Amino acid sequence: MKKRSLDVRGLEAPEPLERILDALGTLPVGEQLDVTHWREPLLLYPVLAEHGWQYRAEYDEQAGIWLISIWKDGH
Amino acid sequence: MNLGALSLEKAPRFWTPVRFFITAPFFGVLAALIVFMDGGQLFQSRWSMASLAVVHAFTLGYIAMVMLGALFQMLPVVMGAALPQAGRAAAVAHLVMTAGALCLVAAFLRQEPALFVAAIALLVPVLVLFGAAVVVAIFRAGKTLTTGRSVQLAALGLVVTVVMGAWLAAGHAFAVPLDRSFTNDHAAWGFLGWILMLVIGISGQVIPMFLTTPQYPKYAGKGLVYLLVALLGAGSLVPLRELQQLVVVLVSMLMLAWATLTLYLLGKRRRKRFDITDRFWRTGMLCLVLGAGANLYGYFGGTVAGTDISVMTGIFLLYGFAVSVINGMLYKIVPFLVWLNLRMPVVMGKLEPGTKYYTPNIHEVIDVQPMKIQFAFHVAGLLLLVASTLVEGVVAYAAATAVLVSSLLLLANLSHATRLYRKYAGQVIAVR
Repeated sequence: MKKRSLDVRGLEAPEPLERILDALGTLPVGEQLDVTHWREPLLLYPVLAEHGWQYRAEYDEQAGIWLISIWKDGH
Repeated sequence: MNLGALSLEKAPRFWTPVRFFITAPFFGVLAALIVFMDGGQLFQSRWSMASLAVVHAFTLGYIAMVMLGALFQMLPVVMGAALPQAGRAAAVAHLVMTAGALCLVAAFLRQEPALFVAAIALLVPVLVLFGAAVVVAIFRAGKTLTTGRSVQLAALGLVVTVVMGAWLAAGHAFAVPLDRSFTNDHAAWGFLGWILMLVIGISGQVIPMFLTTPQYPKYAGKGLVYLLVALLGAGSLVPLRELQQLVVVLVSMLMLAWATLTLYLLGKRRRKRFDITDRFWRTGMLCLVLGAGANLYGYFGGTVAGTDISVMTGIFLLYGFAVSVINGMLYKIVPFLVWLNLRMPVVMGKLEPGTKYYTPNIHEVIDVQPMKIQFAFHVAGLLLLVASTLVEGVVAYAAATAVLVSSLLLLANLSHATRLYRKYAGQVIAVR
């Protein structure tokens, strides 16, 4: 799958959410967005779920960062 | 695409918490009016009826009101725990809370048994049910995040506080002799087990998120809340004077440690630009330190200018700490909700392509200058309230005036935000 990456560390709420949603707005079906965040984007999950985006979130303990991959399955 | 349905579907989400937030300043106004009517006598004793009325106007009408609203908003999104029928439950809870708080305040002022009974009948079901629902919802979500656990403990603390409060209110209603130490337990559970517990839990999430501070260290979350609940339990269940003294000392040190840690983190914000919430929180933390100190000093018999300082302690902890941090947080949450609810239809591609649709910048939802002015009145109110415990006379009227103006300005600032939401949320339907 083709990937795009987005780093939202150090941004004040709601900028991380805004940038992720902006990026998703232009993400074609079949591509994946990899987000780097310094906290878990809990506000994002219900929005993703509600609108059919799939996601996988992992916490990198050593680096102290969250890595969230978001994509939409093609029909 | 059905934009009519969309706006209907979105609207309750905005109003579910916001109706609670908008109500809080009205109780600030009510508290100020009671001080005016009373003429400042209430600053001389925590046991006067006007004093109890003002305390409960703040604890129920302002503090608990906002916290309930915030929990209705936060539980589903931050903790993944949905309250069943949240929208409808919130509307009913809000009405019953408002009526119950008004009844209790009136009951204290008029010493009317029927009003105490009404307050019990309204407040106990709504708050106990809410507390129980929160505990169950977090268990069901199955997460043991620090925030989840401390919110759960805080909800338990709320239930304990309310049950004790109902017992005390029944004492007023039926003239049953009341033990004053029981009132101290009620106040301790209310402040430490409910308010402080919740603020500690929520701040772990919202302070790094909204103020770009480093994260709280892990031990500061879980360790602190478990220690707090253990101390609180030991203090109120074991009737040993020495143990209770130790508990008071340890709880005060815990408050001091957490306030210092929070001040340290606020000093480490990654973005240094002016932020009104930062100012409110620094004020709150400073007052938590002063309140903890005053409580300790008063507990061991210390007096200031020959008077006991329990009223001053209450002012530091409830108005200086709790009202300050809540006021500061409202200036983050309300603009955030306006932004989020106006942004969603655009993000989710529910508008016709090419439709011009305005969403405000979050920092423009409420202007900085009016918030600064409100903050100035809030701090003036705080200083004058403290002064009123030391000096009798006109100072009390000045304190009441400052609290009144601060509450009205808060109301105006929050209303400005909700008007913005109304105006632009309406446009979604207009472009249909």
